[in-house]
Amino acid sequence: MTTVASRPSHATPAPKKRSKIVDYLTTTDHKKIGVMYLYFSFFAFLVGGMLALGVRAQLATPGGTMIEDPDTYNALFTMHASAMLFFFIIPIWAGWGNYIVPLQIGALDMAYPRINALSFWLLPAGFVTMFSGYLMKGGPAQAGWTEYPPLTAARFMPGYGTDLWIVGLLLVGISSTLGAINFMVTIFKMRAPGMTMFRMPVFTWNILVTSILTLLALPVLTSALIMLFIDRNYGGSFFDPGVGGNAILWQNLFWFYSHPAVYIMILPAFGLISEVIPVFSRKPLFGYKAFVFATIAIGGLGFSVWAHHMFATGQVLLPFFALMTAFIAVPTGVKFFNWIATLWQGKITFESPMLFAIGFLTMFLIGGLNGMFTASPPVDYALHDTYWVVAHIHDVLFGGSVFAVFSSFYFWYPKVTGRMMDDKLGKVHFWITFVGFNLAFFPMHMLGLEGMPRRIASYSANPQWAFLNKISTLGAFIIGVSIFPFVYNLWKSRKGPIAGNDPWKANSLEWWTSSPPPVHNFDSLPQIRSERPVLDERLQREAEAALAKGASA
Amino acid sequence: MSAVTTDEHLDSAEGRAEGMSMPLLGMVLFIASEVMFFGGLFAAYFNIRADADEWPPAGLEHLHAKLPAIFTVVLVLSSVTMHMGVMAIRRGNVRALVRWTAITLVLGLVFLAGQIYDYSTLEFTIRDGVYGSTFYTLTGFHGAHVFGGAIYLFIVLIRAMSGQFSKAHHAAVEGATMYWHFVDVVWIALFFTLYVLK
Amino acid sequence: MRPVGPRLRSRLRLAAVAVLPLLLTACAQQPQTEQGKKVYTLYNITLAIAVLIGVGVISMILLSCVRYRKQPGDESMPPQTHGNTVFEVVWTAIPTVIVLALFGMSFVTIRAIDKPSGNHAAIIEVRGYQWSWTFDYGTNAAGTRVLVKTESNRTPPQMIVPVGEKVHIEQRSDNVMHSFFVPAFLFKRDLIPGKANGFDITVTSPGVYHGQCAELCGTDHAQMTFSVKGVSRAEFDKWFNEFRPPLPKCEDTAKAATEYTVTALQGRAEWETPCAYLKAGGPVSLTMHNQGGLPHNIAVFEGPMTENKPVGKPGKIINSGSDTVALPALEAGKDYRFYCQVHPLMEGLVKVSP
Ligand code: HEA
Ligand code: HEA
Ligand code: CUA
Ligand SMILES: [Cu+2]
Repeated sequence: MTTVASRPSHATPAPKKRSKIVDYLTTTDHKKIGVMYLYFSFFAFLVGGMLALGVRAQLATPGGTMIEDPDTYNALFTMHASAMLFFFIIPIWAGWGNYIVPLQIGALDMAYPRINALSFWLLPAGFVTMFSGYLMKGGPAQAGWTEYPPLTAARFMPGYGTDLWIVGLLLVGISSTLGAINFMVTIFKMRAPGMTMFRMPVFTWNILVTSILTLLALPVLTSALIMLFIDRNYGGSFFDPGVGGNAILWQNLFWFYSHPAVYIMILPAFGLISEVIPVFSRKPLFGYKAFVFATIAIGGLGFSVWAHHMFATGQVLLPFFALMTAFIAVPTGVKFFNWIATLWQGKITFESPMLFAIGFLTMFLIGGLNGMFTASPPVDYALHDTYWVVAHIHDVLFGGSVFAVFSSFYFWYPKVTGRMMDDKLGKVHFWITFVGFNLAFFPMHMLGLEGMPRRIASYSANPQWAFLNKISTLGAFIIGVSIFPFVYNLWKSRKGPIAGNDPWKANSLEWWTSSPPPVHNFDSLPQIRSERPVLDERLQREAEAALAKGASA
Repeated sequence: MSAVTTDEHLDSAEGRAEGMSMPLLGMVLFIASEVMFFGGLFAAYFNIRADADEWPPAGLEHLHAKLPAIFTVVLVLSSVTMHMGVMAIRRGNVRALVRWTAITLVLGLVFLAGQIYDYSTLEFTIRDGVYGSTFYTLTGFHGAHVFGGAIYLFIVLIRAMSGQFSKAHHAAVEGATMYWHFVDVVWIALFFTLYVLK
Repeated sequence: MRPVGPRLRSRLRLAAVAVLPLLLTACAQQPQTEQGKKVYTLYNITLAIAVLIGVGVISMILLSCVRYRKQPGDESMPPQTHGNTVFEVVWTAIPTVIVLALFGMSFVTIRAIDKPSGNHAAIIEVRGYQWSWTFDYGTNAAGTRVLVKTESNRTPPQMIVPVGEKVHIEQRSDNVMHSFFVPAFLFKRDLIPGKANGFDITVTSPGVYHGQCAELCGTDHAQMTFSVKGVSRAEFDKWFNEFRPPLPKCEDTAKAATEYTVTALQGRAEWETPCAYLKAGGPVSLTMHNQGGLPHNIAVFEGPMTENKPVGKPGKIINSGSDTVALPALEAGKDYRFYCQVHPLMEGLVKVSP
């Protein structure tokens, strides 16, 4: 047995490591805040994913033998969606936005660094609040992530779970609103000389439009959440039809935010894809301006379609919302065609970021197209609240946003750490994910067509649905397995090959500075004459070198 | 080869002369989000009111507008005084700023006191159906904003008295003024929908 | 970097893409109503367009990936095309046209399905509650209220409709939202508390069709099933005119007292025993004990609640505990019943003994 005294060196923890943690806890540096966002939201993804595996395990058999109490199941998918949407997808783009946007526009930091830190810290606070519902009697929120009253009225849903969900989401709301203001001011005010609006990288453009959507849509959700809280706790009756309230009102307010919110989850992904495809095709983005206008159009139209979630209520102006919803296909199509035109005649290589980008193109397309079915009210009468919609959700959010998230990790990891990720492992990750994804979510279309409703804990009356559900569950666990090579890659690549400033021969300013960038971001800036300043500079240098070579020869 | 140094970049980024200053732009955007927040509350109000057979519901009188009208005048007046304050500091007159801000603050507090008094005279509560819920939520959140604005004004006042503002540097005053005007405008809208509109 | 995706792999992917959509038609429910047939047609048209676009776009993506992959050793820059206005206009205009066409068809179909009309073979009022349904057909020639419900939550109620005739469904809920969904009708519509809703259906062929609540409504949402049975006109008339509501059997009259307590089971919309035994003659009282987990109240009626002849005042809705209602003198032999008004299915008999 060794005594403590005999090993003095062990007793004192290394002071350096400690200060690094303190450093992160107190930082206002946009890069460190960005990295904390990434860690946190990836953690939320794992939590949400575990809950999803619970959902899938339950649905593998018609009787749903795993979970006895349906309320536990209802809480599972409610918290699954809440974790995935509010703590994973939305914040992870805020994380990349934080890290990358100041670099892309040649700024030193975000406009309000301390508010930026506050925005971040509100997120874990919201997460803890919302998930502490699991410690309460009656469990956490369990009325779906949409929390429709009157089901969420106190008399039908007693207990603190729903209240904690509301308060948690209010904290997230403040976080997002402050973040949106910060991004907008940064982008409007802190661009480097020469970085005009129409020379900004498309990712930055998408973060800008996303921020505008957040700024204008989120406060409406905040107001609705407050009203629901008042209904539940102070005897209010906004949403209680028994005393003159209006149950549909919640849906209108909720979707007024939550439809734009789905574009908050996808626009940054569009932006990322628009960075990756040109780089790995060695071409400029085809139709840069068309892209920017399409982004703005999607953002604008996004405010006029919310009631497509409410067709089955029969209480909304069907033709108007159907038309506006269908129109969103047009600007999204413009993006698709421009992406393809960018690929066309390129010199394409398929490193992991590009592989995931191509995965995004094909899988999001399916999600967008199946959204066009529900955009038609009569078809939605059949498909609403069935597994068709669950398929749509995951086609656009997993096949779209999450594929783009993976792409972004492979793409920007070298910038953040200065090291390259293992590309072979990345490809393994891609193919397992791709297979798992299609097995998990494609069968859901068929289940939806057969009439399997969503949000059910069992389907004993319809055992014929079991086969497709089993395939889906298998796929879900394959997705689960695919996470391991990814996490291992992230960990082991911290000692990977040195990346250098610009490993991908890329275009935008973040690739100008060192990897990782210095505290003040840039030691120097190139002249900015187009939306690809780094490429311009590289070409010029190559031309000069060739000239010099020619002269000496 | 042309590479601009960071120093030059620093200068030009900070000194972006075009348009609004950074703090002010932040305030404008914040107010935009607040407008949407009240937009949500107003939407709820009109939705519910449109649904109702009678408004106010049977058994309740229409709200008396006389006293609130006086307090409306008080709040509008406070907007004017705050505007005088910001005009003063734009000319570099700190003493006038202090004076006007103090007056504004007092008027704001009078408004709040008036609202609390008004609450005490009402015969319905937030629990009394949609009428009570909407009335107290709308006016309550407005009141909370007035209170927040008053704290903001108080900070501006302290800073003004310790001489932190000048003709060139008074972004906080501009921000506070803008916010105060916003709170005022929301009240006018509230006053007309809640007390006047029949 | 070495290009990934040899031709074979992309061919396989293409083949998969072409086959998958076929699954989507094969799996669709065959529509069993006139309205559903219109939806089905629209669905198929949308599917055809979507498959066309999907296959076209994915082929273009894969084609460019294969055709323009970088050849080993080729370090030259490809042509730096920045855009093309004509292309932009074309690929904005064509989808706009497609989208407008799709919208036009939706519009026509909405009108065809949702058009209100007067001629109905039957009007059925559907009520949803946690977690079952009642189907109320009104009174038949014999003066009986034709009200279909279940005896417990676990045996789903069945709606009977005449085949080939247009039936109007009126929807009401006084608790939470539900949604009336029959997959084979390719249709659902929500039941919204505080708002009347409704729609028409014309079932085209006889048979029994599974139905289910499609709007999350709490714990047993998944159990909120029902069925619709399409029958011939003759069969329907016979069923309608000979309808007899099943009533609980209450024979323990020895228990009769002036105060009686009934118990609502923990977490269920069910009485422990749906019987209350009271004495005739003087004022009596009935107590509900709610074991908790769900809100309930107790209210006594003369005859079915739907005929709305209340006896005494209804009790308060409580989440747990006890609540007592005072009742005036009752007459022996008359038909009194007690209900939880939150869950109309929770019906019990008040047996009055002299
Ligand atoms: C990333 C998130 C995201 C995105 C981007 C979208 C995009 C779209 N969504 Fe989706 N949606 C969700 C997330 C998202 N959605 C979620 C989470 C729900 C469920 C919420 C819940 O109830 O829990 C939902 C639900 C939902 C519904 C309600 C369904 C129901 O409950 O019944 C509808 C109905 O119209 C809809 C439609 C659409 C449409 C038309 C698009 C369009 O933007 C898609 C446009 C894209 C394309 C069409 C493909 C590319 C275009 C071309 C190649 C051009 C040519 C094409 C044509 C001419 C058609 N969505
Ligand atoms: C970004 C959004 C997002 C993402 C990424 C996901 C990811 C997944 N979702 Fe989710 N989902 C939603 C958003 C999302 N979902 C929404 C909005 C709803 C609607 C909710 C509602 O109705 O209210 C929903 C609903 C929903 C349902 C319907 C529930 C119901 O209606 O009853 C199902 C069912 O299968 C499901 C499954 C899955 C699966 C299997 C994944 C997988 O992709 C998850 C993959 C991740 C992991 C697997 C975790 C990581 C791995 C580990 C931690 C290692 C351990 C692994 C092993 C041991 C194998 N989701
Ligand atoms: Cu009723 Cu679900
Ligand atoms: Cu939507």
